[in-house]
Amino acid sequence: MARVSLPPSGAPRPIDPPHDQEVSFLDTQTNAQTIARQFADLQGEMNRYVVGHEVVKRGLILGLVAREHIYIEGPPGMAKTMLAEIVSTAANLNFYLYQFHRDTRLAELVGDIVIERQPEGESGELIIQSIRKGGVLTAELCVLDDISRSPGEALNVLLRILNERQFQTEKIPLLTAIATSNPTVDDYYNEPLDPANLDRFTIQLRSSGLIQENKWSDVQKVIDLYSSQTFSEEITPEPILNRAVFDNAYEVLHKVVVPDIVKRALVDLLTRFVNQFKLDSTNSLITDRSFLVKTIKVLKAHALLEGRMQVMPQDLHALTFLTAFRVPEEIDRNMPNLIAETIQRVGE
Amino acid sequence: MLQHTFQTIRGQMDAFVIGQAPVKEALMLGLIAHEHIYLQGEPGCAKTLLAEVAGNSAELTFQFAQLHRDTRVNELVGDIVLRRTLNGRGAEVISQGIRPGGLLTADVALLDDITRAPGEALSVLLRVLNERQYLHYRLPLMTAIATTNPIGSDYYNEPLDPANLDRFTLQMKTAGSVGQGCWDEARQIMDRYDGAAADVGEVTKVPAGTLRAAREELRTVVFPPRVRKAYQDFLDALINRYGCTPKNSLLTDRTMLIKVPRMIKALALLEGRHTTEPGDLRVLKYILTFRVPEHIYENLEEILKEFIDQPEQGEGEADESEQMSGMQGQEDDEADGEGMEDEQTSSGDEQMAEEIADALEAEGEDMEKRKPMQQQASGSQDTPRFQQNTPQHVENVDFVLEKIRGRLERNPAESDSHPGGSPRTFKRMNTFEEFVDTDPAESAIWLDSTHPTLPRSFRRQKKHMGGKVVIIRDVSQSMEGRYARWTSSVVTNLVDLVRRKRMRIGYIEFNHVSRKYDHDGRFFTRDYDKIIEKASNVSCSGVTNYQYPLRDALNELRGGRVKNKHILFLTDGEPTQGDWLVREERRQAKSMGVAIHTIFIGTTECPEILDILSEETEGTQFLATPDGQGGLSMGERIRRQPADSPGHGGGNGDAGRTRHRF
Repeated sequence: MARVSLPPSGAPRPIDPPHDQEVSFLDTQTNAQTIARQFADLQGEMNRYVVGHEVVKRGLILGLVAREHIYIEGPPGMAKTMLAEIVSTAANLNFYLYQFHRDTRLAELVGDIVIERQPEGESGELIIQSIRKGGVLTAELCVLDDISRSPGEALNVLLRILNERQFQTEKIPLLTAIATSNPTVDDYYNEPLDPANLDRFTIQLRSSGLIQENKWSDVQKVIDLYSSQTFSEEITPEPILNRAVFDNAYEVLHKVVVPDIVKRALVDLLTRFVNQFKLDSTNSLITDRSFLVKTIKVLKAHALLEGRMQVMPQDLHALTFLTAFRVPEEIDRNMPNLIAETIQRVGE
Repeated sequence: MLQHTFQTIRGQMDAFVIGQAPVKEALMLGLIAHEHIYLQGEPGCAKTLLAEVAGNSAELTFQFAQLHRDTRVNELVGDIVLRRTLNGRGAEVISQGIRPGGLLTADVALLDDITRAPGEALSVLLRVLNERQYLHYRLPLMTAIATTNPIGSDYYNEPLDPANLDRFTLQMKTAGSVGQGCWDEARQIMDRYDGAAADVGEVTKVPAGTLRAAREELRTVVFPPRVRKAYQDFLDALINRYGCTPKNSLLTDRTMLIKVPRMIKALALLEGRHTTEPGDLRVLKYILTFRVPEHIYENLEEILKEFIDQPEQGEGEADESEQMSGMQGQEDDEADGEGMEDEQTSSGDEQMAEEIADALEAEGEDMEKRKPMQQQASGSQDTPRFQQNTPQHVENVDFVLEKIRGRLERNPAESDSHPGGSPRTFKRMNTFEEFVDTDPAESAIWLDSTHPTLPRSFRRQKKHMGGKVVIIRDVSQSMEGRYARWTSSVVTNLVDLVRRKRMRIGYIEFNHVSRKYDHDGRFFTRDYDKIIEKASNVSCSGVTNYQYPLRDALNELRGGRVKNKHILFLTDGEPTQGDWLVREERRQAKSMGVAIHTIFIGTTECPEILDILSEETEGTQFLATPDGQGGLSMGERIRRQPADSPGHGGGNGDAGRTRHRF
């Protein structure tokens, strides 16, 4: 009932990729480069409508390749939702968009309620309540817009589903959930996600405006693009990828090699977090799950997106896509330097 | 054709409402560009009437929604439909849908008194207004017009969320003819309504298609690079010269980069041109109203002048005259006797011509005019810089703020039951009105076999907002110099804290007399910047009297339904005049439940009366002492164990109390 957007009906969905079956037998290196190119096209699709915002675009693609959830936070009107929608349409997956509001009900997110009644014993009646799946439970990709606006019960259930990627006992087909939110200051009628919930979103991105960032050449491009007489106001991204591309990418992702030097560098960086910057549970969110397990996956995705089957120390820069709301802001800002230092130290 | 449509609509508005030309123009622009409009103004200044006329002036579906404090999503989007069907296996499927209504079916919607609705309820508008989409419904909505009373102490309303506010591209402040001092208009209004009732039902309607055609036409309007450059330079100046930051402004990429150029085009189209020109930047006065700090908005025309009259003048002028003659021709063609419109456009032309003339003749003079503006701008930049330095001046101020914040937030409960709040937990249903808030499955079962135990429904709760704070600040002679600076930075921080809680604030300075600061005749305000400005400019003289300022503050706090009342009392010295023990004021504060937080500044011993004030009223107590390095260090004042110390507090029930170490 609540499904918002379907892939254009009638469109042949799995447009046969040029490397359908024999793909896994091909030289993986070539395959990696193909994947890199496919996802570069996805970024190209975003570039058609949105100028700048490189970090958010890159983060979205990393999250899609690594099949991790993505959280984007920023003030209104910074193209957060627009980017999420474009990437979802272009990815051409079964996609569900939901705008959260105060009265969001669980049924709107997971599907309708089913009640089954059976006689039980002499005069009893057994009432079984279940769900006819829809929404998040059937989508491959979902956009959860303004997720922090509905602090009630529905959100708790949703986040549990996102985390476990299963509902009750069944696996759900979801690959990636993209959540957006406004900053949780008191001007906005929203409530922050609690840290444990925030940790479910591996990729965390902070979005900010071109004007406030003084990016005047981008500003000029946006004005020119949207005020031109030929620009159609409808945002109509092409559905350029398909499920096969994603499955292939995910399969190849697992074959990407992580050499020891990268692992050492990662440990070195984490050691500095704890010993030098005194990051602990009071000021940060450094969980084993995110920084030991998920990070490796993100590093692999980063390498893959550059067409490599091997992670290199410079891929550690992908860590900047994880730290936005996990470490104090000043450290997050300093991450590029910290990573560069680490790479240098390990190199020596 | 388009011009004729515009004139008809404008004529309708003029027929019903006299004056209010800027609001009318903004409404026209909104209808042309299909953008939403936010009108804020005193009650009874024809906001709603104008919006109704505008909404009814075309053959469009017009919806009027009166919002109130219990507004539910359903009132905005239509009624809830519960569908119960059997699936193949005999189980019952309960699905919840909506029967589209309200915003979902309207072409033009009027959201009256939008800020009366609980802020949280409006989050449903985010997508509706922006994408014109709700669930899987594509909305026909062209323009939503929201009206509201001023956000202030006298109205029970909540400011719009910035995300929602940004959805309203056009924003206007309105005032009545009397308020603006337009006595001619006032006379006309009395004549107009003398005996005749206003009935909006009888407007002539323009065909629905024409407004949609206007929107299409908009795309063909040319937006030349020099207009873009003028606008871009203006934006640059807003950020880098006039100090607009995300904290004090709402300059989003969506509005400023995509919508504003569209509105500039709309203005050109409204004036019958197909090419925009720098002068069209004046449309910004309908857009920046609540997006930039007030002092910048007030000077907007002055600021814009610089960018409208940029060097490429010579070439531009030729263009303009060409355009003007073109337009005149067009109007002759459509000589329909709509005198009003002609007057309007020609006066616009005159104005523009005047501007150009000004720029050409008095270029030098203009330069001079600009100078004070720039100085003013740099002055306004100084204030934030001063604030940023604050933590260096005052140590531990965050600690104090945390403590006070705790107290400001510690209300009877963090949140209250409120029919317009967020659904939090389940409770037993009490009345059948709550049936819409029940779990659909549970209520379905209950309906089948009714039972004394009612189904559960949501407990709706709302965070406490509001409350009132009075800052009382000592400006006696002894506060001169460093102490004054420190106190200013403490006040600045306190005001920022209050701002975050959106509480109303009043400000009193005192020495031997007490000076209340009024804002448009009201003591309590949410204009935090004004208070910070005031607190940054003090001159200190005279002696100290605690009695007057406390009495003033308590008088202001008296009455009203607000439970959450606080006084923040900053001083460096003992009272030297009046009742040193402020007995009467303490008694009143206690009986009114006002918490007095005292902050003592200095190296001398803290007067005992401050501790007594705080303790009796359950306030907090702090001390700020110089840290020896030119800064100030703040901490909690701790009471010393009882010791003999006569000379203070004698003669009343507090005789047993002692002096305190600080």
